[in-house]
Amino acid sequence: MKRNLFERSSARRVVGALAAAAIGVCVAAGPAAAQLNPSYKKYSASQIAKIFDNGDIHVLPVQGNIYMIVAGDVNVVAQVGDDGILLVDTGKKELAEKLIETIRLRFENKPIRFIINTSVRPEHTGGNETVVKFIRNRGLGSGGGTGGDGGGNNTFRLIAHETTSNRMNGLLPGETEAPADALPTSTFFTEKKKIYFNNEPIEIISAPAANTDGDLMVFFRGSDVIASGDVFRTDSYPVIDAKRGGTVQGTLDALNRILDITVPEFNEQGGTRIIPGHGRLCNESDVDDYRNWMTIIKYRVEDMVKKGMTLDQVKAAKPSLDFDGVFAGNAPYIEAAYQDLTTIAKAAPAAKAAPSRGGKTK
Amino acid sequence: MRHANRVKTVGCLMFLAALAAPSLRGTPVFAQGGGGAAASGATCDMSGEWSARSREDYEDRALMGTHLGDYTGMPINDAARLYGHTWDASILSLTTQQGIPHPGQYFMRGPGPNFRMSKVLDEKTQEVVGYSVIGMWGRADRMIWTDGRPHPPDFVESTWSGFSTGTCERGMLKVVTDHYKFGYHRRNGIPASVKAKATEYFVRHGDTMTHVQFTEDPVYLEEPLVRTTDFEINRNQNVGAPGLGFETVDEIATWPKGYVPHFALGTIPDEFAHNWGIPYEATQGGKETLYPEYLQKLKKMMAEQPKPAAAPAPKPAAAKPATKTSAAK
Repeated sequence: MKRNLFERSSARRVVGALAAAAIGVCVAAGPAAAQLNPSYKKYSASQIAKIFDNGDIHVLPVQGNIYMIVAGDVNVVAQVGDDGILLVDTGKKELAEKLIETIRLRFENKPIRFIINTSVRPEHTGGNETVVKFIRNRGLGSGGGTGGDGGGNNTFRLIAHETTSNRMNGLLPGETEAPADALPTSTFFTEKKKIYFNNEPIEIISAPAANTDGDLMVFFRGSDVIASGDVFRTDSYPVIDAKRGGTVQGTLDALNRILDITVPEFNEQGGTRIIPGHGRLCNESDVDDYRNWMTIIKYRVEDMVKKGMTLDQVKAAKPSLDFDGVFAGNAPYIEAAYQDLTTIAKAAPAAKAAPSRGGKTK
Repeated sequence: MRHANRVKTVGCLMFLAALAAPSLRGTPVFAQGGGGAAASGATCDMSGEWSARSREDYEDRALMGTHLGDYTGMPINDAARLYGHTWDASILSLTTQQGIPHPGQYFMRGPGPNFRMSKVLDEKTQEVVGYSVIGMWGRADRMIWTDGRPHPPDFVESTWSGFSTGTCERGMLKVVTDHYKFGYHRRNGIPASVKAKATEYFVRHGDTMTHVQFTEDPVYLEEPLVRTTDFEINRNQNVGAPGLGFETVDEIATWPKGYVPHFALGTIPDEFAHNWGIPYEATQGGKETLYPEYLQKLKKMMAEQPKPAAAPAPKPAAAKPATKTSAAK
C-alpha cells in the first residue's frame, strides 16, 4: 500500500520533536520505567533507583547500542550488547567506583571488553585504573597490543592513540607514568582504527593536534552516534593544551570532521547524535554552531594578529564577547588562537578574509 | 520603538483578556485534574486551525525579515549587538544551516505562523495530555505537555521547539519552555541562546486568540523580550501540507572547507538608520529604548542630527523590496 507522504513525514516529525522529551522523561521517570521492565525485577527498589540515577551518575539511553553516562561534569559513553560493554573514557578517578556500580547494575553485569581513551586528560583517563582492576577481578586479562594479540574471549583492551599512550607511560617530557593498570594496551598512530563489536562497525578516528596531540573520536556506525571526546563540548570553549601539542586549527579540523560524518534526520536535528566530552547530548546543528563560533573567533584574532596587536590588546578587544555568556574559559582559547596564529599557523594558507560590506568599519 | 507601548501594556492586555473570556474563568487544569475537566470540556481548549494577523511589523514578520542593524524594540545587550553586527546572512548558505527552521524563541512571531493546534489524547483514558502545534516555519513542530510531567535535566538534547509544559491559568493556557537550540530573537542576527526560557500565554476569545510570549535570555537580553501576536480561526486552513523538510544543496562552490561567513569586528551596520533617518544609537536596542521616557532622548537626538539632505525618504514598509542588506530566510 502506498503510504501517504504527509502521514509519514508528520509522524517522523512528531517523533523527532518529541525525542528530547522522551529521553528526558526516561531519565526523570527512570525508576518507574524500570519497574515495568521484567528484567529489573531481580533488583531491590534501592538498586532500581540507582539504575538511571546514581547520585552524580546518570544514564541516558541515546540510540541503538549507545548510552551516555553523565559522570559529574564528564561524559562517559557505553556501547552495550551481547558481546559485552565498550566504554569510551572512564571519567574522573573519584567517581570511578560509582561508575562501575552504575554500569554493573544498569547493564546486568555484562563484561567490559573495551575501553577507549579519547584524550590523556585526567577527567577522561582518571577512572582507568579502578575500572581495569574491576575487570581483572572478574578474571579478564588484558590482551591486545599493537601486534594484534588475539587474546581469546577472556580479554579486554584499553585503546588509545600512541601519543596518549606515550604520555601516560611518562615517555614524553613533562609527563609522569600512570599506574600500570591505567595504561593503554592497544595503540595506533594512523588516521583511524576499526573494530567490530556488538554487531556494529566502530571507527576510532584520530584528531591530530586538536586539544592535544592524541585526541580520538569514536564513531559507532550502526548506532549512528559519535563520542567526540573534548574536541566538542557544550560547557566551555575548547581547552587547547598547547604543551601537549594541541592547536586551534586542529580542533577546528576535528569539528569539521564530525560535520563530515553527521546526517540530521530532519531540518537539522535528530539523526546522528554526538556525545560531547562535557555537556548535553547533541546533534549536527549544535556542532555546527560550535564550529562556526570558534572559527569566527579565530578569524577575529587572526585579523588582530595581522594588525600587529599584542595578546593583551587582543584580549582587551574582547573578540569572544558574543559567546562568553554561553561558554566558560574564553581567555585560554584566545591565548591559544593567538599563539597558533603567531607561530604555527604562519606557514598555513591564510583563511578567507571577511568580505567588506556597505556599513562602516571602525 | 514599535514594541514599546506593547511592553508597557502587556499586563493590562492579559488582565483584560482574562476578563473578556468569562466562560473560561476559573477552569481547572485539565488532564492533571484527573480527567474531570477534560470530560466536561470546560478547559483551556486552544485547538483549531489558527491564522496569524500579520498587520504589525509586517516587513519583519511576513517578508524577508528586517534589516541588518535594526534592533529597535529589542532589549538586547552588548553581546547580542556584537553578534548581530558581525552576522552575515550568507551563513545560511552553509549546508549545515540551510535546513534550520525558525527556532522556538522566534517562531510564534513570523512568518505567520499559521498553525494547527490539536489535542493529544492518552489512548486508553482519552485524557488530554497535551497539544501538538504544527505549522511553524520550517516545520519546527512543537509539543506542549499538559499532563504534569517534569522538564528534563540539562544534559538531554535541545530542539528547535524546546521542551514545553502547559497549565491552565485563569482561562489562559500558560506554557513554559526551555531546552531550546541556539536560535534567534529576530531574523537579522539577534541571537537567542540555549539558556533562553519562554513563558507563553495563549488567550482565546472565541474565534480569536492572543499569544503573549515573555522570553528570558540571560546571555543576550537585558530584560525579558515581550511579544504579543494575534490569531484567528481559519476553518478553511489546513497547515501541514505534504512536506519532506528542507533539502540542502551546494550553493557556493568557492568557499574553502570550514569557511564560515561573517563580517569583521568593528562593522557598523548603519544602513537602516541612514535609510530611515533615525539616529544610529536609537536603532541599537537595549532596554532603555523600550520605555516612553526614551522618546525625549530620541527627540533630542533627532533635533541634533544633521538634516539628511542625502537621506532618502522612507518608503512604505510593505512596498519596500528586499535588498541585499535584508536578512534572508
